[in-house]
Amino acid sequence: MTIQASEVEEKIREIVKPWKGKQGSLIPILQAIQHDFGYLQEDAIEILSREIGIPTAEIYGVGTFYAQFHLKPRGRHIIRICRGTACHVRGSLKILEKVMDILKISENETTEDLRFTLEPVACLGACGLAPVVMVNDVTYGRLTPDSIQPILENYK
Amino acid sequence: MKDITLNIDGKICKGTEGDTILEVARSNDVYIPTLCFLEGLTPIGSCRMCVVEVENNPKMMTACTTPAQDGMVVSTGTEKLRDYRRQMLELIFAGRNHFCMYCSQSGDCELQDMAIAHGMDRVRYPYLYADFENDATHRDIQIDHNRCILCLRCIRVCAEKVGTHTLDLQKRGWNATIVTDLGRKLGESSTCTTCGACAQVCPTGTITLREFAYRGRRKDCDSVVESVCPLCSVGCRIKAYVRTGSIARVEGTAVNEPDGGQLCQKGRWTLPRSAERERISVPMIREGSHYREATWEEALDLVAKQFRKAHEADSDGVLVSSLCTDEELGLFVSLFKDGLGMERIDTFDGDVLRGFVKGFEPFRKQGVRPFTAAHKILDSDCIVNLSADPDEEAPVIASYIRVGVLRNGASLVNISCSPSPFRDITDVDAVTKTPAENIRLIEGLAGMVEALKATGGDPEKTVQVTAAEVAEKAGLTEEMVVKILGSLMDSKKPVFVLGGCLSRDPATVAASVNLAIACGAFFDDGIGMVPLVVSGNSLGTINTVLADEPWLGKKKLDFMYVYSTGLVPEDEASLSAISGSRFVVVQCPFWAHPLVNLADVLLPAPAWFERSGHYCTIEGERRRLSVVIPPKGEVRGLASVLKDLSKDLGVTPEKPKEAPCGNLFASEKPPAAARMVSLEEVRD
Repeated sequence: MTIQASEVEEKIREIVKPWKGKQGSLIPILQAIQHDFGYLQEDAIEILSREIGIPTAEIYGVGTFYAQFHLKPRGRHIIRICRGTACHVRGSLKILEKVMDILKISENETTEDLRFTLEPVACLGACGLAPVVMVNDVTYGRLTPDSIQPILENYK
Repeated sequence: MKDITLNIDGKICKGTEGDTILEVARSNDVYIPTLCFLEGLTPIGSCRMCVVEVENNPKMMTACTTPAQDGMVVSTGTEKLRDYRRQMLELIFAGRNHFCMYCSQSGDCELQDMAIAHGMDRVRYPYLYADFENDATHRDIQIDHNRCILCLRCIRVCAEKVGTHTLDLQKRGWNATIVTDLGRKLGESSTCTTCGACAQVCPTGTITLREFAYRGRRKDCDSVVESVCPLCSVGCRIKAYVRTGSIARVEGTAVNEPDGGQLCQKGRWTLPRSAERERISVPMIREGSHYREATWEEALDLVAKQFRKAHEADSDGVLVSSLCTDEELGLFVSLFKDGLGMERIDTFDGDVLRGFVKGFEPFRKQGVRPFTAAHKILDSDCIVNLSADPDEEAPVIASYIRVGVLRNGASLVNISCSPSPFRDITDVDAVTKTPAENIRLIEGLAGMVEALKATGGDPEKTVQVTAAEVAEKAGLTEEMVVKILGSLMDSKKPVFVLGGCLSRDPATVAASVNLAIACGAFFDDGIGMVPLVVSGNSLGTINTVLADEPWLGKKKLDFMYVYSTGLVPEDEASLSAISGSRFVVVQCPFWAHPLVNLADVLLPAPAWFERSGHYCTIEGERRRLSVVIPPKGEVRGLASVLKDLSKDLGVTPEKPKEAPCGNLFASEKPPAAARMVSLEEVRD
């Protein structure tokens, strides 16, 4: 999916419109951009900078400060592998390694076909089901390295 | 403002309401250590070095950000505070690579000084040994993130003074680093102007300038000389550090000056590098295709002989640089104009200046000063760029404009034959196709603004009707004209920046002043015009060497005397006129090509760092150029050379009557007394 430059410009103008001239609008605007584009792409930031008169460096600073913003494209499906204590004891490292091996990516990376993004997280709050993996909003528990592959195949 | 009294360390300290504790302490000579604080930049209290204790307050407070209150009892040096500060320093040292022995700034580092002052002889925390990048992609500026203490001075100076806001902070906590634009390397930045302000304010060895690394620490230098940058019309104040007879470093002055202590990319690099250039060290006489060395006596004899002959035949001319000081210009005038009665004397870029002078003349006659100090751009709420390209002509003016727009919320209007040089921050960009349309637009706008302000009636109707006419004459859309009018009418204090190219037509200059008067652009020192008049002392040439009418290139001359400072390239027209002359004498400090190739006699001259005198700057001040390093060898001051030459010519030059541009900044009436003039007056 590639969006033409002029389309990006139009979209950003639309997003910015209700916020023009208002202080403290950068974060909601960035949220809206990420919602529409999936991540904060470079040309979008450059256009935004011109539209609201905030230098690109400042926007970049805000974008990298908050964990909620992403400056690289993210996959259609987000795999969160729990690396909390309980899951670790029950072998979550093996599962993480298996997923990295299947998808040929490292932690916090996205597959080239933008299918998956892999994110280790501290705790998903389901220690009773350790080791736990979440794909998008669905939680899978009591996993083994062998049971993860069929799960991933459900997500195209 | 209410006066307040504080008790700081038992000393009664007076201050004003709104001051911070640090400001009150400093104005009363009480020392509080600081690291991230820099006077002139917004205080952020991030380094915690300035913490103080305030009575009845359990917390330690940062003096640089805490407002002082009447009756406060403050302690600045208790054991608790000293411990805390030392602890902060240890944490800073543990965080990144602060191993002084490997750093080019060791001995010239505020962090190191602070650690020594606080007796920090060890670090009680484990070192993180974090591995950040050393960004060496930029040709002149290096950023080693491993040495950064995140004081954010560079970010603040870049955003608040230079106005480019190239630098900012990325990520959080231990991972936070200075970042360029959209996460780029400095060398790939699209906004950096290479002004070097970031390095000037960096308290550690993080941002360094290759040019000055290992050339000598600031405090080891033999002397620091305050002088002025001769390169453009702004005339920024500089500090030149001298070590063992050479210039080790050139910096701007204090950040709390109106100009932010900046130097632009021109001043920062051209000045120190010029000290390394090859000099013309002895007089030289052309012999066929090469030069031979000669004594001053022989060279001046030859010059005088040729000069006299040409002068008798009325075929001589003198061309001097507008980077000369008032005093030097005075010497030229007393010998050539007053002594010899020559009329063919002028400065390079004379046409640009004549345009401004002629355009401003009718307003001068009214007794008002038709321009204002350049830094007043920062006080304006609407900046109008009239055919100027400040980043080229006078980069510090570009900084003023950017800061005015981005920080102070001024609107920016560009009226020019080319698109705005400030593309991303221009509110209205009115680009006309021809200069004729340009002047019609300015004239039309002046008329409309005057009418609108006078009637105060139904602006919409008036605007709609006349805007269409103005738009048609200027070849623009009506919408565009209405937009410009909107910006001008909304503004309480507009300022107009005039590009050098505008002065080709004095009527356009006068029309611009008319527009400024119509808009009520009145500052306390003059009308809100900032003319970019080429070089350091262009204003000083106005009452001295500047010819009334151009003569250059009109007649093939037998003799031409050229005085150049060798710092800025000569324009094509001047060069071709010089090369068309039969006998050319060039006096210049450097082997400045192609000018020196045209000479029959080459005379050495003192360089900018060997001269002294005064410059009339568009900052509205006479500023002093000082001798940084005394001249060496056969280089002689202008006064003594001209004295010998006048003896050979058999004239006694009269002493300069007065400081050449003594009355340049004078005005009899307040700017609001100015009246618009008819352009016919200027069009002769």
